[in-house]
Amino acid sequence: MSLEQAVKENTEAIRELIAALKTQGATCAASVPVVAQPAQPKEAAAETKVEEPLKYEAIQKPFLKLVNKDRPAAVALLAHLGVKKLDGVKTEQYAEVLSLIEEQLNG
Amino acid sequence: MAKHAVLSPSSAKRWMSCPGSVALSEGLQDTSSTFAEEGTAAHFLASYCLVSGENAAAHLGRCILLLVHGLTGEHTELFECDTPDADESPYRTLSRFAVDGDMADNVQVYLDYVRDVQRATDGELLVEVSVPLDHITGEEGACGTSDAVIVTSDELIVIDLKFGRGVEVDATQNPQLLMYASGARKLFDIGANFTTVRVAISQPRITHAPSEWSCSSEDLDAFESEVLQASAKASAMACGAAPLAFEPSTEACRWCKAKAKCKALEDFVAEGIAADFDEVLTQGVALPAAADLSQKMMCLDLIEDWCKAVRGAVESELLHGRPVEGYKLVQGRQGARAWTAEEEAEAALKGLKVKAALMYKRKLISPTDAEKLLKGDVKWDKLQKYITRAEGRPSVAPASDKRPALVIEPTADDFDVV
Repeated sequence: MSLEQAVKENTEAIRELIAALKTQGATCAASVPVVAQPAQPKEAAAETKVEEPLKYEAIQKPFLKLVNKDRPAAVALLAHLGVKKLDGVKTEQYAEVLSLIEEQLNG
Repeated sequence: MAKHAVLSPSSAKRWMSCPGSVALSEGLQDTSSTFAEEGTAAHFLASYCLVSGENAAAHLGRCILLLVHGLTGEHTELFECDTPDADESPYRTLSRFAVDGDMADNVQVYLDYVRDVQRATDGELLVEVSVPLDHITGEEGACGTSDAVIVTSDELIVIDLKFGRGVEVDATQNPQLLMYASGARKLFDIGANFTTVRVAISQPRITHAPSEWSCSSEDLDAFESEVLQASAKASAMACGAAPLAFEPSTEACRWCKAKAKCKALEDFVAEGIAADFDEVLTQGVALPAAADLSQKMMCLDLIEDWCKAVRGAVESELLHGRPVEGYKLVQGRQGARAWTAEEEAEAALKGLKVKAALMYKRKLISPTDAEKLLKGDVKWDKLQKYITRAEGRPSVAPASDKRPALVIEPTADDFDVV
């Protein structure tokens, strides 16, 4: 194969590649907004998942651990939240309670 | 500060029925036994495994040390390799126990049970829980330790490990466990709304089936009232505010430290024995009626316990150098002879040309030893056909015993008045 022929074949191959990439690029380009759009709700969904209210059991078990370790601290935590028993804690306070419990347990 | 209770859960059966025993036991030393210390070691292994999530067999061969603090008298346990530098440690070793197959197998029965209950209820498992008792006994700062507590949103479960081989303990209305349950409810009530209370005893060396009993939270309230009344009585007697009152009974006296000096028990025994002597003197040696026999049989354990306690007290006095009229300490029978140095004795026997066949005893291992060697191996199954065991002889047991009664056809009465 002569050098000229090799260059020609290479050029054709590169052109084919460019064409293929362009085709795929068009697909990608077309799908980007489509993918991008649902991507936002996906992220939002992920965020929603994090913000999903915790279940009572999720705070009860670590709370009982805290009671066993240091009951006065557990009582003080409830007092801080304005309740006398754990089931008096409002659902929206669960995340805060969990973080306070973990702080005490790890402290 | 938490302190060990005088009105303790483990002695509740005694002081709740015999309030005067608290005053009479004051100042008497607790005596420990190898069995009790082995139980402490088994409890340590059990709680260690529950916390670590391991099985008991993972610790086979390790040594558990029972330690006592030189200054405070506080007891603690740990594995030998965790021992702090002996020179710097304020603790001294009371005794040591190797985790053997028997201990590991039996502790595992307890571990499996606790884990099964935890899985079934999805409750929070808490181990070696220090529970308050002062709300029911009035003893300031008094606490007890419950082996395992499982808390769900509405059920409180208290599990106790008993490592003894002696007396089987039933969980039904068991005051020791109910006191733990009361303390655990007091402790954890801020995190749950208990409607049901379950108490359970795992006594693997007697039976692998745990004893369980459940009651409502209201039933536990009623029990607490009973304890409050009994503890008030016992405390009043202990501080001299009320005259001492005793109620000797097999259950109450079994573990009582004051048995040997208890006048009420002495009177009880004297009454029982005197009645029999009267019968002998007035009626000759006759078999009493079945109802009388039953009555007497019920007294026997208590009388035997009293006899042992008196013997123990006399021995203790003499060993402490305090005279007891009519008795003295003498040198007991010598132990079996043993070689001072086995290897030297062996060489000497050989030197005396004693034949090897006569010098050594060769004996086949027992099925128990074979099981230790081959357990879990198919080879052990192959040995089963060579194993036999004698039927147990009929023995007398209380009607409450769980084993079925043997049915014996009445025979002609060969035992009339002698």
